[in-house]
Amino acid sequence: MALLDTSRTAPGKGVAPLRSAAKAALEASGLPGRKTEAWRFTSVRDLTTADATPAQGGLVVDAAPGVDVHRLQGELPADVAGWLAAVEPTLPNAHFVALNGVLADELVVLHAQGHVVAPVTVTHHGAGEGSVSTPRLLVVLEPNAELTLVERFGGSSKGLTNAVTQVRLGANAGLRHIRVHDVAQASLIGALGVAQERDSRYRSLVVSLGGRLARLDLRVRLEGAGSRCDLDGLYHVDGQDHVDHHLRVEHHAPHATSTQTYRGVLDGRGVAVFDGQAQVTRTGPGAEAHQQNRNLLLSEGARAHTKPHLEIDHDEVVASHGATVGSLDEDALFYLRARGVPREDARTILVHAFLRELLESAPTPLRDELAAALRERLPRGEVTAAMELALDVDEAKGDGIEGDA
Amino acid sequence: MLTIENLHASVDGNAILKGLNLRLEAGQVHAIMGPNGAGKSTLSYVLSGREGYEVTDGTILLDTPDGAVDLLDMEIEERAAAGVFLAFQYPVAIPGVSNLHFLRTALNSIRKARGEDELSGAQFMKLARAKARTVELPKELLKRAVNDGFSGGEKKRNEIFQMAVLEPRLAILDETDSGLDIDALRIVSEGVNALRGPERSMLVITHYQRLLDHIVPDVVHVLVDGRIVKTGDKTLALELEAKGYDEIRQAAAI
Repeated sequence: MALLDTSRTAPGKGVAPLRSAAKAALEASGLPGRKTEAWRFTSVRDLTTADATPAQGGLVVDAAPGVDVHRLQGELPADVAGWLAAVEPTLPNAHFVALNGVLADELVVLHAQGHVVAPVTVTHHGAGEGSVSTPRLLVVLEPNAELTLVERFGGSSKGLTNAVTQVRLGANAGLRHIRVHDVAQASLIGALGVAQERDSRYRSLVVSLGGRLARLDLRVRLEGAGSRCDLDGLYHVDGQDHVDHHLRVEHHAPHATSTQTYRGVLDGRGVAVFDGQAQVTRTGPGAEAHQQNRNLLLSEGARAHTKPHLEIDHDEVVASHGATVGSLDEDALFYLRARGVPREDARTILVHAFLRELLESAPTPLRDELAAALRERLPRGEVTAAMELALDVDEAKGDGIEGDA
Repeated sequence: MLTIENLHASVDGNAILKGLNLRLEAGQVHAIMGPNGAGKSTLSYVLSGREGYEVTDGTILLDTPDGAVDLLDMEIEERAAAGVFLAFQYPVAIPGVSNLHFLRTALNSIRKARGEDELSGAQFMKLARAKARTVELPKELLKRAVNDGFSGGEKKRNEIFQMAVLEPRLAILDETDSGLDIDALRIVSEGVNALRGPERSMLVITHYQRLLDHIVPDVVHVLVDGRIVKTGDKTLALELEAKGYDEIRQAAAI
């Protein structure tokens, strides 16, 4: 069958309610093409023609105390079915979500209560060449729960991962969600839907390290008053890499806040697409929505397509949006060189700093790992490694600037 | 230390410097004063090698331990390694790069270019702490991103702090006093004065005489329309303040 053939389902039981819903959805929606607005700059033609077989499993959970992990097939327990129903309207990208529903062989549920101290890591290993993996993850935080979730998407061969993650945040719950897209020659199409009850906090960081195709459709529904989402992302493309981030935040309650802050560095013949949308309609007072996308172009052949947009239908909204596509700041380059830093080192330092800023809030040691991964992708990246390592060592010795001066 | 001969430079095809001559001995502090548009900042940028400034004639010789070198043959960072330091009129903010990381990289780049050993983290921190105290730079600012969110006075103090760490042979202070209140001016001036020494020369570019009460120059030059039109001692600055540039311009028959 082709990677995106819809005529068959996967072997095994699958997840019954997902399958039945998906079949209807598939009949209603066709594969997106170039004329589909959300797919104007990203083609899935390669995926529809390649032969592929569905892959089983491939999703590994490294859980922590305070989180129950369920791996479900067939009919679902009532509570899980209820959670699923609650997050269903948040899902973007109907066609790929439906395909996932048909082929998914299990539903993995993470159910968190209270303050979960250690981060939970979910690793999607990706499918081998010629196969498609369809992980399906549901994350439920009970009221007042706190969790850090790290989702890693890997890959090395030319398979496809068509992943769906759904998140439900109870009242006053907080989720720190970090996604690492590091798929190399593989393709990733990810849908992520988040439903937030009152006063909940969703803080997302998406790091896309190139890849043949890394696409994310992220939709957040701020359903409860006082809820807040902060969606950060950073990406680096080089060679023929293609990354695509489509975000949509819907404000459905008063006093809700959303921010979208995405930054990328584009080199070689890489392509990066950013489409950020915030919809604020009939929410009552106190809505705030901000969007920013900045792109640093390092080569003539790289392409950035950026489209932040706000949809607002009343006037009590604090909102801003902006997008830039530019090259390195010549003033900053001159400043560094005038202090003695060689040109190529100065360039690397500035590029790394541009991306690094968004990493600051990530938990260690993941932050350092991601900084290292970015550094490895940059020419002469070792310069920044030497720069940053030096003073970290001092601090470890207690000889930092906070010392006895 | 520095010998500028017949320097001509233009920006976007417009001649700005038109035959500038200047000789600065080791250990001396020279002030360059002049009206807006005279070419003061252009001179500082040409000395440091900024792109976009085309030198059409002349030489700029800097004495180094290895003999005199022509700065015009050198890249920006090579000039820094040879001992040129420009304190910027408008220091550039660099979000995401910590002040200390940046300065240590700069210092070690210079040391490497000179064939000297790089400083370890501990050695550097000891040096940085000591120098920061001399310009009363709060230690929080050392860890913050370079000039990011700094006040005007903090930026200028940070420039002098960097100068103290890098220990240049030739320091060019481009309107370091602009926008400073009297307290900040005092701190910056004391920092600069502490760096005066027999092996270091300074070129202090300013629009206001006030700075020269604090950093007393050995020689004052008046730059008008791309040339030095008058040279004198520190009293020349007072004369300029009293009479304005017009009289000097007329006397020089420009």
